[in-house]
Amino acid sequence: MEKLVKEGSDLTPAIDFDPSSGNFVISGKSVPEDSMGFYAPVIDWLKEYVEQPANKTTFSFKLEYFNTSSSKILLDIFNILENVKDTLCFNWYCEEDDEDLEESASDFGEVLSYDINIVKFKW
Amino acid sequence: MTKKPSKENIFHKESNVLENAKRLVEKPSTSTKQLAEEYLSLSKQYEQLLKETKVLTSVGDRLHRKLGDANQELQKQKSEIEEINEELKTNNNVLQDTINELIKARIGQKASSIVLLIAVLLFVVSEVVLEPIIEKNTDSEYIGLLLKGIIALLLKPIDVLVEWLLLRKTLGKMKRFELVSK
Repeated sequence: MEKLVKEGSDLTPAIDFDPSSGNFVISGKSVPEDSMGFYAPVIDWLKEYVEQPANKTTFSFKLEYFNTSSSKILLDIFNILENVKDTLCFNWYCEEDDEDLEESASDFGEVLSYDINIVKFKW
Repeated sequence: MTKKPSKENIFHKESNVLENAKRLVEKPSTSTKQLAEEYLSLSKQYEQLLKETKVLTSVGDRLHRKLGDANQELQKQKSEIEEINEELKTNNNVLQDTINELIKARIGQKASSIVLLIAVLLFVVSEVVLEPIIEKNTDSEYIGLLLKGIIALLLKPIDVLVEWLLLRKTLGKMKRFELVSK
């Protein structure tokens, strides 16, 4: 299985998923005009990955902003990750004073069976 | 049959559930047991959908507020920048006025020095060149005095003229400098 790498733009996030190390990073902003068009390959890739995952999967969520349609798809992605929940380390990065993003992580956590670790950082 | 995720539909999973349920209900051969199972499955899916809807609404509202806050902050910064710009403009005008005054004062000083030099020259010329000619050609003492009076009266217009010429020269230099800077 090959790496999934997408460069970020003003509207779409940067994606760097490495299946051999199990390190997944999604960062930037997610406000694509066609959310499904952007995320469909990501979802397909993840569905394939969870069939044969790495020993440990570390998902680093570093989005600073995402629109409503993105959040729906992100929830789908998080649900796919339920398949590797026993070996999953989910890190949700947010700025120290960004309470909205931190509380959003808690909201997502309510419908997921694995823990979301909040990692605070300062620019 | 389930639909593949389409670009247009982020709710493909939910749409599939609904379509399957409808198809089963409309099928004449569906048994009561099958319907009961479907109903149970549909209830579970609905429960999940409700949970997700609550999460997405909450997250959406939060991020909308975040965007609103960022927008407000931008507006605030824009106003501050505008205020600073206005202040800078005012200060710039004051500075420009001061510079202009300073230039005028320096030009005035320079003009006075030049006029003083001209006055000395005219005095020397009148004493050395004109006075002997007047004395030679006329007996009147008043002509010499009249000449000196005219020279004295001419000093102010000469001063104005020199000042005007120097000012024009300086303004020309400043304009050229502004053009080069741009």
